[in-house]
Amino acid sequence: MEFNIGMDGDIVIMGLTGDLVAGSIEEFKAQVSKLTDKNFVNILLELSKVGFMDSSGLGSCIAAHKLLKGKNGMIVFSQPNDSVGKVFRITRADQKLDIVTSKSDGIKKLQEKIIGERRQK
Amino acid sequence: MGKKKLNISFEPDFKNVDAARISIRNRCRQVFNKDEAEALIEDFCLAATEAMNNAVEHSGAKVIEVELLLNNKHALLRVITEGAKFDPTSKTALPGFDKAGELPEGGFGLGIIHGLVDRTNYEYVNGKNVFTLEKRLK
Repeated sequence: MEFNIGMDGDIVIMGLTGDLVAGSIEEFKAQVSKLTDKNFVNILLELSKVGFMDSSGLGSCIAAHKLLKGKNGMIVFSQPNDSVGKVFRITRADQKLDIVTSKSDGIKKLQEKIIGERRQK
Repeated sequence: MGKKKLNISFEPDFKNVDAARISIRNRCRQVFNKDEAEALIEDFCLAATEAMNNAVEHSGAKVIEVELLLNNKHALLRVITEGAKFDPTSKTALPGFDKAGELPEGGFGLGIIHGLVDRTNYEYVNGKNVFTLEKRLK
């Protein structure tokens, strides 16, 4: 599994390349942990280059969602392919996770959340 | 007939499941028309992965044996492990939302298998667990 990490304002854009499966989820979890340790809690996870995801990969996405939500952050999952999207759908995780079909939609969603929080303060 | 049967055995490590999945997918693609059956092959590979992951995680076996049999319409996969009996048909429902409206982080594997294949079967024969998945690919 390969990671590509960039920033767009306060948003971390993490691109994954490879399969998100039982054998690779520890790397993914460690990357998310590193980011939250540095108080980066708004993440766009680009899945367009993830070819395959199993239930362990799904579990790691749910874990990241819960971790970031607990820190008043948010993770948005963008551009899953048909196979990965199906795992989200059949498990009904798509009803709970924020999943978008384009990177720009994901950034917009995160920006709206950040702007909303600033207004409340 | 050579293309229609595949036997794999591996030590219980998730990295080995990845290699086994690639072999299963490639063999299915050799036998079935990739353009027509690709989505069904992917479903079968996901179910196979979940079955092999369960064997790695829960069986305690030192070796996991996998048999793939293909005919003109169907794929059949057997995951065979030595050790104590386990019943992979005991928890077939996918987990639901908890009181906080969240999903758990695990427990999806068997539900996914049962949702993606046409038939499953479990036997305990001569001290071995045999979990069989069958799916029509054409």
